[in-house]
Amino acid sequence: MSPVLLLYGLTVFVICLCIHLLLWRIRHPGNEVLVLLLIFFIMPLLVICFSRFLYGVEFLSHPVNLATISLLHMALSSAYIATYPAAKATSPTLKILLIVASAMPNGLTRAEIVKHVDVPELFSNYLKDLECSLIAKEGDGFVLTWKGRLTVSFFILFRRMLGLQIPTVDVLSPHKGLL
Amino acid sequence: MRMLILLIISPILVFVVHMVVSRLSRRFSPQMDAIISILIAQILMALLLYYFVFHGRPTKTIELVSAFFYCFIVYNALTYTYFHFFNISETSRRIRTAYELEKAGHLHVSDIVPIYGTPDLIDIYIERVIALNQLTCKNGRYVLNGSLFYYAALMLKALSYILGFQRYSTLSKPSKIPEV
Repeated sequence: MSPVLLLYGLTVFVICLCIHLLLWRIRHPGNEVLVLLLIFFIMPLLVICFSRFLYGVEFLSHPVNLATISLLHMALSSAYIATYPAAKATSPTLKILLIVASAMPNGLTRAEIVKHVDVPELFSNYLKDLECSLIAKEGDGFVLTWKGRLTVSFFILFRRMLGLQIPTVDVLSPHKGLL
Repeated sequence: MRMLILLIISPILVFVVHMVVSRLSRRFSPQMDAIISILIAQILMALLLYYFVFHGRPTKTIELVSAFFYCFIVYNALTYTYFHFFNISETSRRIRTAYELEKAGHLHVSDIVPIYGTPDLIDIYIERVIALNQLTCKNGRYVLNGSLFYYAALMLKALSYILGFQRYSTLSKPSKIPEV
């Protein structure tokens, strides 16, 4: 495999990442998911496909080379988009670690952690998070949307194939979560 | 072309290995099972790539090195995405609440508050970090025990800052309890 293909794939991803960072620094778009898909998947695919007609890059006219570059870019983009929600939302677990780290070597008591982590803010964010496309607010409670039903069914099937159940709130235990 | 096909199916290979590992393993947490599956599948993928792609093919060293890095990056990026996908099914509050809603049909905010609200929430998160060996309690004070998650937290904090979110401040003033 030519190292040029590796470099092309990495370059395409870095360019997309730079465009994304630049746009986000200017203004956070309303429909973030759509814009992320546009930047990382639709736009680069169009560029890669049309670049075969460019003069001087004959090797891009070979479909296998195009696929090689596209796969590398798609894999890196998927990994980045999987990380993105953790950077956007406040992960309480990581926040606790940062707070304790800033108080090292003495560490913090539980009361001090509670004081700094700001539980009401976390809970407020949690309530905001709930009102997404999966769950809709109805009166003083929440109901599931059709997208929510579809997602839950998919995850139940996915976990059943793994021999697992969806961890419910009544079986919420410390070792169950990562972030 | 065979190399690309093998790499594309790598998340399916991880999923199959994960199905076996999660049924056999009872010692580790579900996330650890997923990580173990990814590592086992990595060995299998390396063998498959060697047998079907590189075995018996005279290749220049530079091309072999670039192919190795290519496969390494693509496999790890795809399986990292798989791990995140699995993690969503394991820890996502939205999915968990959606599942509760699927069972109950309708949930009042007060049904969620006793579990997720109040300072009990902090205990859940502290115990979670202790279970992951990243934090330990010495004489009533919590201190760092591992560095892996701390560095992950620093990286996310940096990314959050670059993206303009800036929500990972280490010290924040307590706000009022939201009305529910």
